[in-house]
Amino acid sequence: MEAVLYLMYATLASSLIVPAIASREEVGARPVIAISLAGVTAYLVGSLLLVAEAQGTIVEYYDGLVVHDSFSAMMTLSAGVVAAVALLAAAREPALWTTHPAYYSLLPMSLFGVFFLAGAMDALVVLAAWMLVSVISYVIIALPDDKESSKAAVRYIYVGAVATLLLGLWVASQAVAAADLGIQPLGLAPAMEGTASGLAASLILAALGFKLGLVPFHWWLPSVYSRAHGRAVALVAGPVKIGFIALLTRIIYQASQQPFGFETLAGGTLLAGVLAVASIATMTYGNIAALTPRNVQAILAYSSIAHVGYILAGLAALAYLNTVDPGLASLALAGIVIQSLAYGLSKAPLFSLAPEAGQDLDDWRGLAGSSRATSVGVAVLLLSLLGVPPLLGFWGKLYIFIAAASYSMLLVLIALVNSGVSSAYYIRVMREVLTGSREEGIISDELKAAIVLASLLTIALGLLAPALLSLI
Amino acid sequence: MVEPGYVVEGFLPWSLAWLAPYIGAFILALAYIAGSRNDKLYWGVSLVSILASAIISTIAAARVLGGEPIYAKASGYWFPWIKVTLGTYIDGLSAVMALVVSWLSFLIALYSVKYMEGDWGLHRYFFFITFFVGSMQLVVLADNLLLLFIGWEGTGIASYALIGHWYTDEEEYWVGVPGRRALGQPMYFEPSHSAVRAILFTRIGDIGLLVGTAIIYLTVGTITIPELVQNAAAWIGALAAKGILPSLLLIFTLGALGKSAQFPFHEWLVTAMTGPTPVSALIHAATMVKAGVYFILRFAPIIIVGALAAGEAAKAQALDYFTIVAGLGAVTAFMMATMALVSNELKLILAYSTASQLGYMFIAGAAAGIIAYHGELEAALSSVMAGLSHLVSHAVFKASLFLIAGWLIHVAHNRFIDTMGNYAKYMKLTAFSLWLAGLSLAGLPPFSGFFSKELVIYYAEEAGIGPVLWLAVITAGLTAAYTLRMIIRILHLPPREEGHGHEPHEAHPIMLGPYLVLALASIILGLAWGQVSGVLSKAAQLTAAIGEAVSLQVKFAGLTYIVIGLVLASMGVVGFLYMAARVDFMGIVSRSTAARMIHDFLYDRWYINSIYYIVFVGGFTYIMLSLQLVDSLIDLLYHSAIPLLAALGAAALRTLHRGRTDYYLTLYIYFASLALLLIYLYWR
Repeated sequence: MEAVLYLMYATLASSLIVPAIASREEVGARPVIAISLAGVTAYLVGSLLLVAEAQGTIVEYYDGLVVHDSFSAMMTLSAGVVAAVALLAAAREPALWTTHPAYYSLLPMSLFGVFFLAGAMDALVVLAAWMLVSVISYVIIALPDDKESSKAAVRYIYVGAVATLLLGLWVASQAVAAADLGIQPLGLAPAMEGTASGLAASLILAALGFKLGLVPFHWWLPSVYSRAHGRAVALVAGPVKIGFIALLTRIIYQASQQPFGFETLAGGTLLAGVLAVASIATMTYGNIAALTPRNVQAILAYSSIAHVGYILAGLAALAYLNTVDPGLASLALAGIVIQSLAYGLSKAPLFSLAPEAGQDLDDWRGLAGSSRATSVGVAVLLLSLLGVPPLLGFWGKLYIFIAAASYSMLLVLIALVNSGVSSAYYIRVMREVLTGSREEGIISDELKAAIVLASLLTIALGLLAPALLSLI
Repeated sequence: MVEPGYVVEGFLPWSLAWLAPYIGAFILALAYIAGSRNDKLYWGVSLVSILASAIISTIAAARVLGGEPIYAKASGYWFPWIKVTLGTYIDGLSAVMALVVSWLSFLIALYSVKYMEGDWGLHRYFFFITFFVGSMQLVVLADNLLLLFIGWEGTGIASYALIGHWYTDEEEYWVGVPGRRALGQPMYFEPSHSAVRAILFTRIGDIGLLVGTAIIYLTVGTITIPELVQNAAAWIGALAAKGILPSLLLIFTLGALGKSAQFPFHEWLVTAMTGPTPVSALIHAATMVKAGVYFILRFAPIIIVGALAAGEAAKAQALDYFTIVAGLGAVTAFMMATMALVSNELKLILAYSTASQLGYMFIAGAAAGIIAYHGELEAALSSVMAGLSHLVSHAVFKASLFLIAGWLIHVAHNRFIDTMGNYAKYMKLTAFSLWLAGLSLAGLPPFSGFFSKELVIYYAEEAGIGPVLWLAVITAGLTAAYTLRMIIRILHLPPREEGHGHEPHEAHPIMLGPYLVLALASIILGLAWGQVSGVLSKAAQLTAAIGEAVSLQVKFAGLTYIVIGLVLASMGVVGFLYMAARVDFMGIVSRSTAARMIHDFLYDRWYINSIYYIVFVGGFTYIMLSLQLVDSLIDLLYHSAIPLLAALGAAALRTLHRGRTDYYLTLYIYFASLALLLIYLYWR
């Protein structure tokens, strides 16, 4: 139990060592990457231990400030896996940036933050972890040398500041409700009723909605995701986002478990209703907006919004089922884990590919010619996003939709239609990748390895997905 | 009513009656795949396997008519989930049928050896003939409806393949006058076209048979014929209680109506004449078209017995059904006879005549049900056997007529009788055969055709439905007229047109033999009608659901004399008009508008074919066009409208993202405030 914490500290340590070493001029990028990799490895081992420990029980750290259960442990692990893939993909090109030590340093540090985000059981811990991870995100986006990145980062920071303000308000509301600035369990404080709980709910939804790209708090996202450097986006859209999904899920879970607050007003379904409406708006918006751009990074950005929409459907189901049918509620949780992992496994390598292959759809044409394994891997990742069985993405959607079906068939129907619509742009990208041929290979071997690894994981975990259920 | 007792026996050897030709066909298929094109092998295997079937059928018939019905079935279920066995059921009815089918098949296959000599499709021909005989025997001998259906479809496939035998569609194999149109629709048919017509027309009915079988299974839980007989009262009663007995039976009978070319399904049989003539003789005169009649004769007694036992409602509903069938039979008999009057294609005359005579058999089967309703069960069952007797006598003389036609068409090298003439001078035996078989068709005593038709008319009178009876009587007169016209035109009048056929001469013995034997049989069966009716009566006694001896002696009464008088009168008139007065009918037709309208109406088959094409083919064309319209609209929707909308939607959603930070901030704060406000208002 303590071992997990020490490994997390090791992760943090690796991110602190990197700048120290890199400041010495004679040191190249290789040792830096190695240390970063060591940090990620420590994190992976730690989260694996965490998953093992959290089976069937709850693991408390810091006197219950950070609490991990099987769900949050799996989310922690998922973030680590995705980060590892992103690091592998980034093992060459970012090393050429003048700022590269920061990249390799912040990557493990963001994972350290995710451990707290996913496990936070107190509003103040949420605030602290939020600040840590948010600032890391801003910096990562700003790191690359190009001008677009700086512009995107400024945009991100501005909107993020307002979101942080709202989060602060939420923390305050929790404290006010409890008449105490001490440790408050997550969710909604017991004393909070009616107006206050509604206020708190909208504040946290607006704040986390900003992070996840939930419509109508998503405005910054397409711009940042499509204009910032793909490798930076890979981290923000991958491991970091998984951490925030875990946090939102815990808050929804806690809120929907209380016999007061939301439930006293709407029989336990109002929260689910709000989430369902947000889910429909988000997935529909993302899928439709993704239909026509020719910029691959823009397509991926909108499709990220759509995927958050699917996860919100799972959250809506969770909010409804939590007190009604705990068995199905855990299926919704499993769906959220698998969907998040599948999403991250696909998105991290694909975003990483954009800077190397080019942002325009035409640039992606004929990847098959340069590397067959890469193009097949890209196709697998796209198909997983689309939800084609037996890939991992299929199971995530399946479990979410099964759970959601007992809440609202209409929601599932709309989600299915949305999945169908999404095939239009995924297949469009896939067709470009698989047809035509390129003369020379322009993709680094490390990125190729990351794509192949991610697609193999997507296939293997997809085949094992039903077995994964018992872990969550 | 005593059910004929039977002991269940092993599947073999009796099932070889239908298995043998199937085995023969299988061997031929293997030989063909193996690459053998030895003509002798093909007709040899075919003849041997059909002969084997005939011999087994004969032995079986001897045993059955000796008082011992045969029920041979394989142990265990064939299809366990619907409890269907694989078995051969031979009672009086099927024994007689199998005997007729197998021996006629053998004689016609023998004739084919010479007829098809040198034909490029000989191997295919003998394969399908053999396959056909197996299927036909299966229809007759099957112990359950599923097996019957398999045989039924087998005959249909063979019929299809053989009608289209000359699928290269040379004009000499067509039916109808090339270029002739009625109501704008072509009235000439190529073999490949005719084959498709045949399979389409009969398939409509077959769906009915299949649906009917399924409903019967769902109602009574069995489709095994002996069990259907035992439970007749139960299932007839159950269906009658729901009020669906007549409609179900009609659906069930659709297959029979289609197969036996009864109105409104008769069109396919006419154009089926594009097949080789032995095929017309075997499939489209002697056997397959009789499958529908056999079906009626098989089920009429079951329905009668069941309805009588099931009570008044069932009886009344059965009466409706039988009345409709009798009506269809009578209409077909009359309609087809009128067409035969004016036709100038030898095989078409015979085809019309076949459908017409099949109508008589349907009248007999249906009259049985009507008579039973009036309470005379013995007369009713006799009527069923009258149908069988007409079936047998017709099979014999019509096969003979077709085989003769095959030779005559070969001699004239033309299918129209206009180019035939004075053949009596050149081929005495053929002329003799034609006269014998023709007079039997005309129904002149003492030919077999006279007795069997007389019986049918007698029971039509007993049934007491006026229009049916009078159509049957008038048809008898018309039959005599067209038969005599045909004989005189071919044998005793000079040809109307110059042909370029061979010098007329007698047929090869292998071809002459079969039709001479059959022609002689038609008079011998008539002369020995006492014995024949005795055998049929014995068969009735041993038939499921009949089980008692019936009288098939013609009772000479008022109506009999009227019919004989009518037949003689019409023959006399025709003989006078053609031989003595030498009236030029075609001249009259070409001069008089009224005469031409009547002639064209009959010659173009009452315009029914054209109406079918206009309504169905034309109708489907319109449906297809409208579907195409719908299709192109959907196409437009998918390929233009939806992408356009999606593009517009996507563009609209993305215009909000203008890449300006202040703009994003404003939107974020605006929507956050809005959400706060909304939720606050709601929760307040």
